[in-house]
Amino acid sequence: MTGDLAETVARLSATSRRAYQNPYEAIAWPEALDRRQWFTLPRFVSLYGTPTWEAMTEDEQKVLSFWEAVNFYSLNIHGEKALMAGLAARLYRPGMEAVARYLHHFLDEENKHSVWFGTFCTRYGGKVYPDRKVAFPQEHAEGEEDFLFFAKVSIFEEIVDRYNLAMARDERLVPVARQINANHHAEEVRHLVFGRRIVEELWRQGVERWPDEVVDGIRAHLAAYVTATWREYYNPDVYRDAGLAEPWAVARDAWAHESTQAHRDEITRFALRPLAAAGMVVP
Amino acid sequence: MTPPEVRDALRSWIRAHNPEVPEDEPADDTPIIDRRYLTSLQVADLLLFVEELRQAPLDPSGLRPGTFRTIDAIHDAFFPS
Amino acid sequence: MIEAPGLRWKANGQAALSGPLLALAHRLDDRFVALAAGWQAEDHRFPTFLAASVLEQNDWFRSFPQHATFPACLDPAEANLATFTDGQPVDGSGQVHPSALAPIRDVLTPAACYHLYDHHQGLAFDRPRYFTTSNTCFRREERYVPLERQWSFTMREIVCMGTAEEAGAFLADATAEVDRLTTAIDLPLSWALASDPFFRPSKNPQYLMQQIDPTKYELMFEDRLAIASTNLHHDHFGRAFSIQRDGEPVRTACIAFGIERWLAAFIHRYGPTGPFPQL
Repeated sequence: MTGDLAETVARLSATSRRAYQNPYEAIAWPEALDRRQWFTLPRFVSLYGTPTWEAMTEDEQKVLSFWEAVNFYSLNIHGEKALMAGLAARLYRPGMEAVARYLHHFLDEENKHSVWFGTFCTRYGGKVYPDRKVAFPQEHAEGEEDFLFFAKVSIFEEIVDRYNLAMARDERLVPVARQINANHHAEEVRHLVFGRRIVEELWRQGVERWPDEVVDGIRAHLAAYVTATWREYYNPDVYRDAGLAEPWAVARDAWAHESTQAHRDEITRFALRPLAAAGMVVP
Repeated sequence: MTPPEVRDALRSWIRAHNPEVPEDEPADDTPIIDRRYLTSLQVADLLLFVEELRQAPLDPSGLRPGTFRTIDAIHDAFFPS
Repeated sequence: MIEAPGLRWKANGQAALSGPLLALAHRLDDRFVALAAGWQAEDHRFPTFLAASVLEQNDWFRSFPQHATFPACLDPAEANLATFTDGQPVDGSGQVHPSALAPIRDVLTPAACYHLYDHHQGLAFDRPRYFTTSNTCFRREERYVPLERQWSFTMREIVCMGTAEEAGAFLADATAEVDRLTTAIDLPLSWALASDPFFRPSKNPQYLMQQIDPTKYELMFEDRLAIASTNLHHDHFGRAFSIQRDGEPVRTACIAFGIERWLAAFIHRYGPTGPFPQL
């Protein structure tokens, strides 16, 4: 571990201890919510800019923005479940001892975030949308699996953070949604800083010994991961709950629409910047 | 849709998403995961396609890699006769 | 009042820096330049004086007259210079007794980015452009505090000129990047909605606009000291300086860092002698 990573781990651990919170007190949960309010900012709704969106009334758009929030929080829950499993597996594992003290905070904070997201989804939506991901067992070069784990966490969280940051600040949003996004952003920044540092460190260690085909495979896998991550933001379950006909076609058309492509490109460019700078992905 | 039509639709989907699949593949019993014609990251997208073919959502909990081993396996899991 | 090795405070509300504190100031600026490189921002160095007409173009004097500092010169006529030298140029209290002054046409830079709008006046862009510049900036205040509120201080800015979407995306990126930076060095900071200190705000349409459509966020240290700010200007400078993008006034946005205030935050957080974290 470089001195850089050690210093980061020490500082982040100190901040996490200071920011330690009771997840059941962090957010003011209203008894019930009128769904005809903005729960997701219009430009972050998956259909924004598409003909389907333009054809909806403002109330319909707002109801859609509610189910989009349920989907966004559901994606976070599934991401956090996989993340917590991966973090737990790495606690005190040889090679990870030096970051163990921070992994405890990371794990603890992710569990708390799932409490917020889960509370919103079940209390106001009556469900968490199911996860369609299935992992196939795969062989990895030494160090590749750890690198991919943290690199993918980093990409996922960078994208989420852009949503959180925008929604934390916009007064149009329902207060409970704003609070969830604001709290999540405030906490995730630490994870993002840790993620960047550990990804740099694992890449530095790995790239010296990985053969070219492993490096090429990593780049291809991360590129495919970005696409797969975004694909989940276009969920037919959301469109069905929002009362739209032909939900799968709506999802396909929205995904292919130029305005949603531009939205994804803009955020992806940012999310991948640290990885691109280090050559982990080819932009 | 008849079972052969479903299998052909699945085959077309896999070919469309993997330009490197040889001309006459995958057959109904080709091990598509072992051959890397289908990756883990493509499953969610494939499931949406399956749902649209069925015109009904499916419950993804409990899905295993084996469900996607071959076109036959996918067919049998999601299109029971 | 802050005291630290390498800081010498001047009675006129300005600071002299040397040693470890100056080294930290350089490292901070290097870090912000590295941040700017993320957008391939083109670096510019401008003079300290700015033509007053540039600020007038943007109605700055009516908005912030209290902050203006002008470079004054004596009227060069020999008789006038003689009047000056024959009298007492500077009295015991340090006050200057000028004879007639030459016309004042310049102002000391109040914010680094104004030079960039002036510099690109009349141009038309077909893609987003990013710039960075640093300058010694001057703001007259009623009272000064070392490193926290000074008559002259150092400001590093990164500016985006593009479409509304590009300007918005730039600020979102910049905000996120600064959050990563400040979290890594463990500074207690939070972003807060802010408005500029307009003169007679209730009569200023720009102030009213800022209230209706919040465009300024400040990065507050311990909820009291703004060490950076993000600003969305919409088409304000694009119109004022006739800078276009695809046939329309360019939209601009900037992020500004007050270097001395960062030093103050570091000293409060880590003590006057550090050790200061890596950046």
